[in-house]
Amino acid sequence: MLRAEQNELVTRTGPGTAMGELFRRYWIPALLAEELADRDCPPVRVKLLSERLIAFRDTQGRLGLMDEFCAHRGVSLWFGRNEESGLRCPYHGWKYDVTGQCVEVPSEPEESGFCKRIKLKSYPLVERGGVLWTYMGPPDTQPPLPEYEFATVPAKQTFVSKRLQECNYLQAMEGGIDSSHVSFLHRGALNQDPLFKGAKGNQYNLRDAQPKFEVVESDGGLLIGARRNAENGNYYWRITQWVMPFFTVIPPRGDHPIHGHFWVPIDDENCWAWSYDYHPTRELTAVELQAMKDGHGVHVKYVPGTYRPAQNKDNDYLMDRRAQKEGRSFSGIDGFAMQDASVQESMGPIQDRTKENLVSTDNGIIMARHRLMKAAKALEKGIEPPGRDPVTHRVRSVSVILPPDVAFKDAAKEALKAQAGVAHTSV
Amino acid sequence: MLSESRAAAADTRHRIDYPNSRPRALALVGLGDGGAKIARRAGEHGFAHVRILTAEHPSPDRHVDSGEASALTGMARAIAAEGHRLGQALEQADMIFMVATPTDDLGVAAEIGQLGRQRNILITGVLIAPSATAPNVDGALELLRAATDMLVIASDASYVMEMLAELGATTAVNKGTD
Repeated sequence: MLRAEQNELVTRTGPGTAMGELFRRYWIPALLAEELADRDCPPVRVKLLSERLIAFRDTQGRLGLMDEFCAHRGVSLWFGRNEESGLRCPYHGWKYDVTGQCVEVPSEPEESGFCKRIKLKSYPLVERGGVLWTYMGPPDTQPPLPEYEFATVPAKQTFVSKRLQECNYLQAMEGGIDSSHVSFLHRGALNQDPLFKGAKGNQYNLRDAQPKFEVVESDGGLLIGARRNAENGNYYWRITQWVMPFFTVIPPRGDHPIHGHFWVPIDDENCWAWSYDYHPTRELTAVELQAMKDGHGVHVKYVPGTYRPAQNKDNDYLMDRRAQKEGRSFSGIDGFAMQDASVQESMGPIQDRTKENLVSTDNGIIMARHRLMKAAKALEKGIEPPGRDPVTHRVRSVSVILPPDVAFKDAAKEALKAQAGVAHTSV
Repeated sequence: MLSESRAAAADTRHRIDYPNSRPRALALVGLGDGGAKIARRAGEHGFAHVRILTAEHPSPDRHVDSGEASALTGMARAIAAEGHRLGQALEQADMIFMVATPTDDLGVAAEIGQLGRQRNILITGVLIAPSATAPNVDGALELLRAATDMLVIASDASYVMEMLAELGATTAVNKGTD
């Protein structure tokens, strides 16, 4: 359990907060590229780390992310006209370029240079891997662009989605680094979901509900190894990567694509759960791609026209008590993603960690909190946090069978690195 | 009309404000000189319900034969060497932690692990190492892995204090680990 002030430290990410300052030191996913597909397309409202922003792609294809509100009298630029290399407020015609620089104030003589005095706060917005990334920190500490493998493989080898999760980012992310829940919450789904079923490793998950864990600090974050009994005295290891501040790679199953997540704070009570699936050495098949678009695996079906899951708190997540009772579903909720989201949202908008009772298998979560809080405090003293160097992004998760006397970190050392053209290690 | 889930998630004011658990008894065993130093530092925090023990001088006969009788004999020797403190304290614990550094003598780790298993108490090992590739880490890990149910490799000892606090150890004024 955390003290109240520690919970505040680790969950609040708005401007001026310690954790918010930490997150602003990283490139973070802001939009899917599909949201600004065309030049001069409609602008899109974006809220990240409790800042309200507007995103647009201008006539020349340049991307902009800036303060949502016109500097004149505070009108939302969502109503803006995206035209002639800028976003024009419809109220009085003030126009801004992609850097937030005001380039026209129609009511003032051009010679006055008034518009040069007006500039909205803006952040760089860059496309990589189907995602538009932004960096909201000080320009002089901007790190190199991210190199997570899902974002650097060829486009036909990767699929990315995002969904709204209506709770604080941390309780969502902690679910992603706690693999002990898989044997319960996701039981049944392992043998049903087309993006999980059929892998030999699934049987070990289902047979052994008490994995042993090893948590090791890595350069960018953590390695969390879960060990289950396999045949002949060997162990089945599933090794999750967590790279600061909120990126995970989930151990693969069979030849299924590798998946993982980012949990990006919208504000303190909502986050975007980004999910990706990619295969390092082949294109995704048509069947796999359709399954992802249909909301299988770690993806979801949406309320049409939104990125809100169709199963949500307004319809009790379409809970099926009969399926739960009859053993067809352990949780009664359909789909991996919503099995996680439903229980995590039920904790409340911000989980009160002063009342939790952790057990020793929660050491992955404890260590993640430790690393986040330590990094936030170190940043206050001017020390840049781990996970900014792209070398720390080029990692993979692993599932592997090893003899009992072998350390996973050594045996899987090469497999834990992302290497172009090299198959991932999976059972 | 609000769905039940939406109403429930939004309602944080009416959650029961009452303790939902009784404190657990934690035992922290510092192995070797380095582990003992860390354990003693944890003791200075004044945690309630945490028994701090050190095993700086393990049984000289570490390499016991297999078989229960021999293992128990080895433990008995270790207990004798530590004056019964270890065994009695561990018997009363709900959770057992062993902390060490890579160069520590981990002689009693196996015996403590066995005691935990006999009593169905989960054992967590915490190895404090500057990096996972530091000298002697592999050897220490091998011994701790065999003796524990959960293993953590942390780069600094402050993790031990934070871990204990997160697992429910509190101080008299709830100062914690800052």
